[in-house]
Amino acid sequence: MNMAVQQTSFQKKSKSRVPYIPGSKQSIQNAQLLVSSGVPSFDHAIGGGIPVGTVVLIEEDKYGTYAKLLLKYFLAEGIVSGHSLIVASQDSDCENLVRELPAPVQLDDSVRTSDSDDKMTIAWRYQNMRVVQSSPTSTSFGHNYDLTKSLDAEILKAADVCYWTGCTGYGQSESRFTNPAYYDLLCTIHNKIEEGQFGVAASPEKRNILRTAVHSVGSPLWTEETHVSSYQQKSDLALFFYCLRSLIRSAYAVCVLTLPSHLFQETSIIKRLEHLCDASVRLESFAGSEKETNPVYKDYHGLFHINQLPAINTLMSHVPESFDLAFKLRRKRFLIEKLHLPPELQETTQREQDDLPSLASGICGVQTRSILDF
Amino acid sequence: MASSVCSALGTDKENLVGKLIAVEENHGSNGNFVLNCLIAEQIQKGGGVCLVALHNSFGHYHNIGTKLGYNLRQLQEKGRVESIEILKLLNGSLNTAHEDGSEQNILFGSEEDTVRNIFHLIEEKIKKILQNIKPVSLVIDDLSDLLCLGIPLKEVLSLLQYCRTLLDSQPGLSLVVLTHVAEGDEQQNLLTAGLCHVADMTVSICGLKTGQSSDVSGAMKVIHRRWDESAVAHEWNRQNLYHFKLLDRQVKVFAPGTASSFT
Amino acid sequence: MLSSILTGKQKSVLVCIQDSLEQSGFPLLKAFVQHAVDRKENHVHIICYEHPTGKMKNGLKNSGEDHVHFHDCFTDHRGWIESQKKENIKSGVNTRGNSLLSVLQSSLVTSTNDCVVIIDSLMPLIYYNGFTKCYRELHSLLTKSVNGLAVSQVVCLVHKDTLPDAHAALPQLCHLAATIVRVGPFTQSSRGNPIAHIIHKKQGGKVLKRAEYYFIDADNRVKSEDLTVVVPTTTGMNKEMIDDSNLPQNLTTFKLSLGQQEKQARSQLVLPYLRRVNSEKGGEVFYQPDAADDWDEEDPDDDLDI
Repeated sequence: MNMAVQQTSFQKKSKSRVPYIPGSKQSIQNAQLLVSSGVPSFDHAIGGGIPVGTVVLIEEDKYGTYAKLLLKYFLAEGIVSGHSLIVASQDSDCENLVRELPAPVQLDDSVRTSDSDDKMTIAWRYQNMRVVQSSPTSTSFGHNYDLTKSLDAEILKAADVCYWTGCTGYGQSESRFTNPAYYDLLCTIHNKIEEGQFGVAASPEKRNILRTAVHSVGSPLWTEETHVSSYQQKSDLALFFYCLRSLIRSAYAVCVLTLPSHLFQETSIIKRLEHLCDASVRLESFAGSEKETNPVYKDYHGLFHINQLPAINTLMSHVPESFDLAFKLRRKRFLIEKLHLPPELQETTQREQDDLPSLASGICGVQTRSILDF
Repeated sequence: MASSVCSALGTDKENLVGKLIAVEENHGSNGNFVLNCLIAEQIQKGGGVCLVALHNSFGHYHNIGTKLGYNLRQLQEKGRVESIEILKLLNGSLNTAHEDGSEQNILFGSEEDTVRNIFHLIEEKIKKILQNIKPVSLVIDDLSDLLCLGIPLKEVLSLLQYCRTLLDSQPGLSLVVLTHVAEGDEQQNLLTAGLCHVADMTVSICGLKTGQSSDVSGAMKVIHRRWDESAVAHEWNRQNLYHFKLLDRQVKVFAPGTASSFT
Repeated sequence: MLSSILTGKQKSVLVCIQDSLEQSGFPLLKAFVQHAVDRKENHVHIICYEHPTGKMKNGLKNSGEDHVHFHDCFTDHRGWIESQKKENIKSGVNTRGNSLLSVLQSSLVTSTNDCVVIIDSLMPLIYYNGFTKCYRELHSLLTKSVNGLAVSQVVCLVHKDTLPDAHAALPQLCHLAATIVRVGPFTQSSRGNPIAHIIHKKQGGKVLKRAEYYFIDADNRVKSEDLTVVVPTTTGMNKEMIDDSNLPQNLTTFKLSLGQQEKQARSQLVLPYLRRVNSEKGGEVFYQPDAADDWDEEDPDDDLDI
């Protein structure tokens, strides 16, 4: 779909072909229209934001908490930007999910909170100055969210949210799906695109974006009792993803899905699904694993693996600065960044190299307390 | 812009009419650029293109094309470019189950019928475009997506064989087929092997074994097959290995180990 | 041995050539065709499933002669084009009948002489008719006479890597075949030529095994020689079998080894802090006093009163 404006170095002042849609912006790299995922550091990691018309796959962490959280940020961002939403899940209660969406952090709040990371020691005079807001509009691109506060009920009521929790009646037994739930969800999305005039070919008065969030697709609840083998489940999934791709490509829409990939025995199906999506990431949470007690990881809650980045309308996908990313969750911010070693807390001359697992980026060792203190 | 890729493939000097180029995209790499460069070359030579787009929509190729120096939409209006957008067909097939038997419905009905209809569409477009212009490249991106549609392997291979028959029955045609393959996926592996066995040239794209690099996007292996010459082993399977770097408006191709910092 | 099978000196009712993407067996198959054509006594039926007949005819000498018959099972192999003409869209019946038997049965040639059947690839047959049916047809070709045709030899090509369930199907094919020829890419001892591993079951029951490298000339004639494998040394290391795919040089694209010039330069390098020892004097001590040293030429032992 043509989201990019004609490539010229000279920027014309006249109205571009792409209408301005609140909550979206044009990528600086290739004029592709982007929306925010709700997590500014996620946007940064995948190249500025989620391109409109693409599908993002999030492979869930073992207990699913962080994946669900990312989905919440995605939906919250949609509401704050005035986008339409479709929330689909067979595992969790969609309406509850939406009721629990976090409220965006207010601008004044973000300046007052002093994170220990943000404390400036050299340029301390600037510590109390107001953070410069780059975009003057109220619905700017990308917000941080406060998990302790819920989104205002009034705003929720006014938002255009559609729920899908199981077969709603489109179930067509003659389709190639063995589980009619997949087909049903596709038809729901298809209908919404038509009704809301989100299609590229449509010409509504005011253009808007449709955000679709699917929680835990492919979970055991998506397996039909009549499924003889896992092969049918896999072929259903692949067909679903392919149809989803065709739907999202045809409209001003984005879709984020979470998938409990750790429940799948064969990785070949995951790779097929990755290929059918545009962006694919995997969350690895430290909770309950041996990494939880590892001093190297003590500042983070998990690792953020990037498997694929979108390459729509362009030859090259975004090249991130680093592929060794980790995430940490704060009350008011979900941060994804390059894995940093914790700062050394003791001054010793001893270097412990043996206890640590090998990491991809060059790490020589971590200094720990030793009896041989001079 | 597209020339470095084409000279690495040898397609700038070779006549591709009647030949099949297989592009094997290994999981973890993006082989789309090969198709875009081959399209660029065909346009530049004054030929036509029939694009069977399974993996992306037409706009995607058009947008990349503008960066490589050609305008696919305009060429389509002039009749030099035809396209079959499978994603659009699929979109149209959703929620229209009641119109069973329609040729455009690819989600319902028997798999053989689906593939046969796709072939008839292709044949129609090829015949149409060959009336206006020669030579024509039939570009298929990406064959393995048919497997995702639930089409069994043998039907996909049938489609491939029928497209190859077009090489004989329609003079002036060349064929470029891209297929995606991941390790451990038996169907994809069989499909890729089946495609490469009958190809005149195989371009294999994969990511670097040693990990990610900002200087190199991936590795490209070009394998030529000479059916008509005597089977001296090293001539039969001549292989060339390159590294490539994808940039916004071009692709740089170089010998392994010679990448200097381009950006 | 390869050439003797080709010329017919070693009789073989079913020759199965197995190849892979690394080395194609198509030229070898063509050589079989050429030899059969040149023998002139028998009729030769060449059934093309995987490639257009033109590909086989290309480069084949005397292919236009009367006893040579090409069967095109490549074009319209599913009958899609035929059925479209008849406007019978729901037709699931294969109007042409591509199975081996039906192709040969519909062939108009009847002959009392033994004929040779060459199949350019079994793969399409296996995919569309199923492996079991294909196996049965091959078997019946060899045992019964079809439409008055007595088949003396069948030569076919199989791609190992496109065979579904190869681990089960390949041994079954080997069970049926009288001769199995596995072609592979050249190795160190094959002088740049592709190699062939041959297992031939003689009619008497004896089984011969050979490893040879072969060369096919422009006239499609085959020359083959025995592949001499390097004899293992007393330490048990076989040079051919060293797997050098794990050597660091082969894993990375960085150049780890030294070129000739670099080796020369290295040998000529004079290391610092190393003086050329003049061996005539025997041992010599080189001492560089620095600023803090107090160098006294006197021998301190001079003070001793002995």
